[in-house]
Amino acid sequence: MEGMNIRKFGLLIIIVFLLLGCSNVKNDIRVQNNSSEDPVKIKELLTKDERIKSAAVLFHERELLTAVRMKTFSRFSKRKIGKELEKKLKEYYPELNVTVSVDNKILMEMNKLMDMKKQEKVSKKIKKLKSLIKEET
Amino acid sequence: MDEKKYAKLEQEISPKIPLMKNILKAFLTGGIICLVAQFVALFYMTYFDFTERTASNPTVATMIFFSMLLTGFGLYKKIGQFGGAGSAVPITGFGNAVISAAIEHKSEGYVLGVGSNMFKLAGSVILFGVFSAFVVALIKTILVKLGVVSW
Amino acid sequence: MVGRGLLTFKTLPSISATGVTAGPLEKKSSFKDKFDKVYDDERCGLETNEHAHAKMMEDACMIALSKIDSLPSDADYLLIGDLVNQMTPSNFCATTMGIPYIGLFSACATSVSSLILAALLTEVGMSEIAIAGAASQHNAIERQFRYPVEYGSQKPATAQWTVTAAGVAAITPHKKGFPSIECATIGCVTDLGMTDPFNMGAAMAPAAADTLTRHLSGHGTSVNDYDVIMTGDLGKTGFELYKKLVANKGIDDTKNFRDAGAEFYGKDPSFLAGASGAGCSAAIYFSEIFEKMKIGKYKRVLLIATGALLSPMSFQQEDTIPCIAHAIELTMK
Repeated sequence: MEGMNIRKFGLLIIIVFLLLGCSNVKNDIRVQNNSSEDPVKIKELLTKDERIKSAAVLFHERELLTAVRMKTFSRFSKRKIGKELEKKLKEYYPELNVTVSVDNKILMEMNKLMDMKKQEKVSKKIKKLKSLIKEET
Repeated sequence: MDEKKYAKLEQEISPKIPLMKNILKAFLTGGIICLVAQFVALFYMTYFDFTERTASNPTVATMIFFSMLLTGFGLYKKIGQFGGAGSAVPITGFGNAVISAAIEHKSEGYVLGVGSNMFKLAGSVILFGVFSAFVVALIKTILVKLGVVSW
Repeated sequence: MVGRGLLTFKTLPSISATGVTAGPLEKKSSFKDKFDKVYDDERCGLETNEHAHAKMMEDACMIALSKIDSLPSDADYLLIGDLVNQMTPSNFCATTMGIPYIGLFSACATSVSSLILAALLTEVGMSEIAIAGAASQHNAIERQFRYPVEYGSQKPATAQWTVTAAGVAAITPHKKGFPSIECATIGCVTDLGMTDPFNMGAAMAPAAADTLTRHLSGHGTSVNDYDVIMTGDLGKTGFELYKKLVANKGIDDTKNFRDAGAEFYGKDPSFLAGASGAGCSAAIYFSEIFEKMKIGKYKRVLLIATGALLSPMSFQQEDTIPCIAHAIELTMK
């Protein structure tokens, strides 16, 4: 009886996941520019990178905030890729405060931030996000 | 009949351990436990200020809580019989080892029973976990100092 | 004197009454209707598993005594045992009963070893009523020999399930219409180097085979003289091995062989290889076998209870599992 239920449950899970699959969304890169900087370079860099699945980029005053999501198998070395990106971006935009995060939470929050209507709260929110990135445990 | 001959006979007659079937069951059980944990982590990331990195702590605590409920209601041993290593390796298995020992020894009181026996099974996991972490860190430190790898 | 370890009872002491109690899970047993009392709570409403263990034994003793209209104060000897450290449940049971008591340990073979001693006391005329028996309580035994009850480890198909049951018998001088004890064989410890505590049947099978052949040759009988030859708790794997071992010694006819452990829970696969524990053989011998003898269905039976004499420490120190088997022959005339 119990074995049967577990079997059915397992089968259901497998079927659900086979149906859902790993949806292969094309590079979805979102850039919001509230500054005078040129966003083309970063867009190009992120689009060209095969390992990146999606990204959110926000230019705000002197801040450049980037959150990226890797493709499944690049996720294993995502911290390394993140550091690599940060280095390149610092070369491209030497006068900006560059922050790169490979954390899903940051990507999620960035998307929320970019959808926000009230622009005056953005600076505060960015500060909060940056402290969140620094959190270790 | 001598020992060797009997050992051979015993091997012939005792039902074989279905290795492939057990591996598959362990994979499924372990996978499902981790899937649940993934959802818990996602929950913490969505509704609280936890990043992927920091969400792991509350997730582990929650999974141990689930494991405690399952152990208390007598379900975890059934999962264990089905899943084998699949249910023993994730943190829920560790929780089960601690909690089952605690339940078992409650009859001897809280200090001498629960307190001193709680880590009867899990104690060696902690000890050798810490020890192997130390060894691995030592090896890496030496390799970094020698310049073979970087941090 | 017939030979080493061989006993013959000239006065034919009788089993006048039995008492069998069992835990709630034993409702799944094929023999559940034959038990005198089945509890609804595995702790019998008491604080600890060990108290429940003692309570089961007390109740079994009281049931057996009440069937022969006696009180504990009428009984001369109490010869019981269990598997818990220092046999505390038996000791507590003896405290309540107040009967002169000797605790016995032959692991799961205690049901027969106690029966043999009770028969001896009766044979020499020192006892009018002697209570013999054994018991085990799943939770109390598991925690001692294996892991905590709720720990989720995967047991192989050869593992056996310790039963929650107590079985006792009241032995009196010969009484007509009751099964009587004809002869017995005290087993030798046999060890063929088995070390797996999850395959105790395999460890115990050689002991059972050895005692069987010793009994048959010692008392000059053959397997076909018996209606049934029942082993204690070899379980499904051990029972197969035992049949193979016996066949090696030239006994091919195994049609009247039965095993209490393999039959206890029927074919339920969740109990893996079957039942084990001191209560397993005691409960079956003193319900199923006793009743069938009383109604005359079985005229002559041979009961071989097997015991694995290991401790958790000896197993962790990688010692082998020494095993014992005692045999007793009951007849109904």
